[in-house]
Amino acid sequence: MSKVLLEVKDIFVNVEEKEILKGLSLSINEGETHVIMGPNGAGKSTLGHTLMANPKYNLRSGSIIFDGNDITKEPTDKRAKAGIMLTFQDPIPVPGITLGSFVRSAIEQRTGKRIRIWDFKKSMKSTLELLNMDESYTERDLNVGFSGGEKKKAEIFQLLMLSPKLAILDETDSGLDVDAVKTVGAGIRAFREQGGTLLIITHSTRLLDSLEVDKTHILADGRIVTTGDRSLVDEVNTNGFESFIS
Amino acid sequence: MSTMEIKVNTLSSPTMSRLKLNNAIMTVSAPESIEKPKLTAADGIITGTRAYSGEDDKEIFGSIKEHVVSFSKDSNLLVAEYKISSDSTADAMLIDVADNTSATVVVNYTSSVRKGCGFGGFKFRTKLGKNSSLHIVQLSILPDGTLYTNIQGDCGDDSMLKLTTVCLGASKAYIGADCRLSGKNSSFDSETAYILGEGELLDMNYNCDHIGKRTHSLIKASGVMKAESMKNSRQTINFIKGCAGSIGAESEDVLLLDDDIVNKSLPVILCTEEDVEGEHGASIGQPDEEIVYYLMSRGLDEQRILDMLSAAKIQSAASRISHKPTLELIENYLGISEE
Amino acid sequence: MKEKTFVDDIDESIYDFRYDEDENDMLDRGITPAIINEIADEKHDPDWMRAFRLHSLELYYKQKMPVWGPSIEGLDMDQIVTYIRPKARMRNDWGDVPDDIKNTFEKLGIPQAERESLAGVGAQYDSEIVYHNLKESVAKQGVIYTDLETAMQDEFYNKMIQEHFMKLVPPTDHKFAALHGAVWSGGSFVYVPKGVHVDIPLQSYFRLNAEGAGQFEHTLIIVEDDAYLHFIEGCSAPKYYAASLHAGCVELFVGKRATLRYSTIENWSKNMYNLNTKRALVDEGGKIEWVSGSFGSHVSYLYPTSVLNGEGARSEFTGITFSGAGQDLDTGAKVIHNAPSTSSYMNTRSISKGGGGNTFRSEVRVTPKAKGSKSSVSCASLMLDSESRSDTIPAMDIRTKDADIGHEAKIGRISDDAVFYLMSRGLSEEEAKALIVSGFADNVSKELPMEYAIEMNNLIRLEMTGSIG
Repeated sequence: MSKVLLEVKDIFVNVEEKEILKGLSLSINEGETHVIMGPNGAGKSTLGHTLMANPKYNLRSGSIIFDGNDITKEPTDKRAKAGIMLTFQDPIPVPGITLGSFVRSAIEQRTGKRIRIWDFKKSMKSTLELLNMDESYTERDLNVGFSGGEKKKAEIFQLLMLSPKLAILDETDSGLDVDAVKTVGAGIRAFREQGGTLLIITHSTRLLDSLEVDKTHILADGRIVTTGDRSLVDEVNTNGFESFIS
Repeated sequence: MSTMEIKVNTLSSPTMSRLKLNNAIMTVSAPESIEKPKLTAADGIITGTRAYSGEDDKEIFGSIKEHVVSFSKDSNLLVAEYKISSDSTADAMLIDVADNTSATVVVNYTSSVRKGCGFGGFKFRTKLGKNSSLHIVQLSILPDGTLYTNIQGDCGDDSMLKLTTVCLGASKAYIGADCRLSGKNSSFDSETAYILGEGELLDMNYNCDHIGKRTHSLIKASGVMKAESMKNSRQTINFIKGCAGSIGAESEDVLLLDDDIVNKSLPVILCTEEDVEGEHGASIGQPDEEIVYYLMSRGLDEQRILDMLSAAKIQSAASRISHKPTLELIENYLGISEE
Repeated sequence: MKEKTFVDDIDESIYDFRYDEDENDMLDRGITPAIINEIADEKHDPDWMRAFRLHSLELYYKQKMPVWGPSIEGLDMDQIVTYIRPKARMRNDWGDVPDDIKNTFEKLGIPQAERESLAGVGAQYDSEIVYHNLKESVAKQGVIYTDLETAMQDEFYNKMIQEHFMKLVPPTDHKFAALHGAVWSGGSFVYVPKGVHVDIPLQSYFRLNAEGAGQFEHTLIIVEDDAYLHFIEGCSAPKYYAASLHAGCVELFVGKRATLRYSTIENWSKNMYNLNTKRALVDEGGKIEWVSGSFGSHVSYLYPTSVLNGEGARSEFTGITFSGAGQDLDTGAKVIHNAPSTSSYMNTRSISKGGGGNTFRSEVRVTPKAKGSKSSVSCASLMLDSESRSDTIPAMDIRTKDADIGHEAKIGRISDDAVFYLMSRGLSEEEAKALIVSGFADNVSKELPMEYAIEMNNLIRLEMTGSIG
């Protein structure tokens, strides 16, 4: 039996005055891949940002246990250091900070050790190759002037470089062409092979074709309404969400 | 040691007096010595000294001799290293750039004392020949003290005056430049970056007169303000009748890290010519919440994020500097050196 | 000698726009306390107002002329003194009204009675009736809409006026505010009680006073909590006075969650020095909306100021200034964020033509109290020829980190391509340019009631092509 990595217990979350998550619970074991599907506005992205402690999302009750520790009150950077990473649906441009120097700083902060520039460049190389990214990417300002596909690749690049315990992928396949979906898929498989745990938030199934899925959850009206295995993905594909919403 | 009050950074178009931006009053002790800088340049570039012949700032420079600098070959470099001590010092240069010549002047202001810097006043008057270019790089890393620097430029046809100013320290810094784009197709490109530490003052006055046809200017300032710091930024683009086809832009980008700051900006565009395009843009505020959250979500703590965002404000100006030792001074200061 | 300000918790420097000492004095002492007493007698001033006038006169003597902005050296104070004396007050004569003014009336199709009123020759009989009807219809809602002199005869309103009069624009503010305090005459007093929504815009145009008034008119508007008012000042037709100074004053008090929209089209005759001071104090959750069109006058200094003094107070300023031959118009706006979560928005356009001078001058101040405030300023200038001048002098003074400040300014010319495109559809060059300029001015025309928007567009056409047909 593998151990529980993430345990979400009955959380209620507001955005401004509006209640979005209404008693959501979820449990993910180490090394598993979970998929959260659901119609637009069900609260899928809210779940991702709540797990990452986005200050705009107000957790009113419930608790979040990660890796045996209660992180309900922990701020964003502490959760990241503990091993959670959320890839953003629309990553924020940060002028003046290059992708390379940023990732290096982030690794240094996690490990508390300085990394020599040449060692770092070497470690980036194989990851860049895997993702079909030119080395010059890392010299560009983080997400500034990146196309939609480039932004998503840069997020997966960070995922592989930072190698968190749990990756939450928020609509990673949206806005990608067929080739980019393949590249990003390869990146996600590599993360899984490293032993990473995945929570994939999506409303389409393109990215899931090449991935092993342990559990599928349907999120509707702020709650998990159904949990099943991989076959649930195919069911949604054929019938849509209607049958899951009472 | 006598103290004097000197009016500097005077605005060409005075506005409401109550804003207190029409000029700056600098209180300094009279310069006692002519600064003997470490000047590094190829033979023949520094041709001698003569009595200061400038029209203005005579209170500071009236009694000193200025270096006469003449660039006449390509890829010329002059490095001036000023060490500010507890005394008041001043120095001036008259720089002539011959036709078809491109040159760089790198000026570093550092201190020879750990604390208690005095006043340093520096003036660079430049004249650019046809199709020439001059890049003046200024870096200030002083623990305290008062710094006054002023650059004047007169640009001939097809020439370019480029200024890169990085201000990382000085209790009070008064930085100014005044460029006349007399020749057609001439241009002025100024970028200033600063980090104002606790209680520091930066007072800037950039002015560009578009006189020749199809002249271009860019006056840019970006920086970071910490507790109890004060910044005055004056930017003036003056399109003078006859400068048809000219384009000018001003921009300001200020990151405010603390309360108790005083941040004043006055981006002026004056225009008596129809056929021009001028614009100004400013963005002033604290770090963007979304950026902070995004960077935090990758495990950086708040202090580290603020340091990175501060360094980012310097990055664009620093990337214009190719003089390695100066770049290293900046990187060491910001703690972003590669090794 | 500082005046006590209306709201004690604002630090006084916010209002205290006094000039520095290096500015030189120009005006003599042609206006004497005896003249001021004559004015007070004629107007049956209450004692406090007489004392206020005399005190303002003292301040007027002491204060200096501004050293920035357009030259006002041509201002003939002797002539103005003559006009200020009530007993010796000279009447304008229709025969003396300059031809260009008469021509403009003709082109704009102004009825003769109105022409005489606009030229300061006669009172305005037609609109008296409109005014009285309007006054009575809003009176049913408890709204007072009258002139200050009349209102001061009522004990209750006299007290209200005493509490507010020149507290927002104190006579210490600048030399012409002091002059105004001493010699003011005419203007409007509007009081909108709590929660009252005034549906019809009130228009000062309908209640121009007797001839000659309006040069030093004082507008005092108090909109109580949760109330709404739209007040329209001026009209597009040029206003002419032989004495060439207009030093009016507008003070607006906007209560909690109240909204006041203040629209102005000013078109002073081209001999006028327009040194007008307008200011609004906005309380918690309240909103001031300025819509301002500045045409005409020889010289203008005009910067309507919003003091956002309560949490969540807002201001919007939309303005256009058109400057032609012989004109130097220095206009803009100021906003002072002095409470948390306040927001301001400024959008201005200026047009310079035929040797006219235009200056956009602004100030955005954010005090340390104004955490969470937002300000956005956008100004655009159009140069129609190289005889003209267009300057942009915007200032920002930010004193808290928790503020979001955006500013953009642009200057340029009419695109040749656009003119060519319109000409290819059969418009003359003049017409094409007039059309483009009207489009450029649409930030203001969109905000005006339709009849005013049409009048403003006519005015632009007239300035651009010499006719409105």
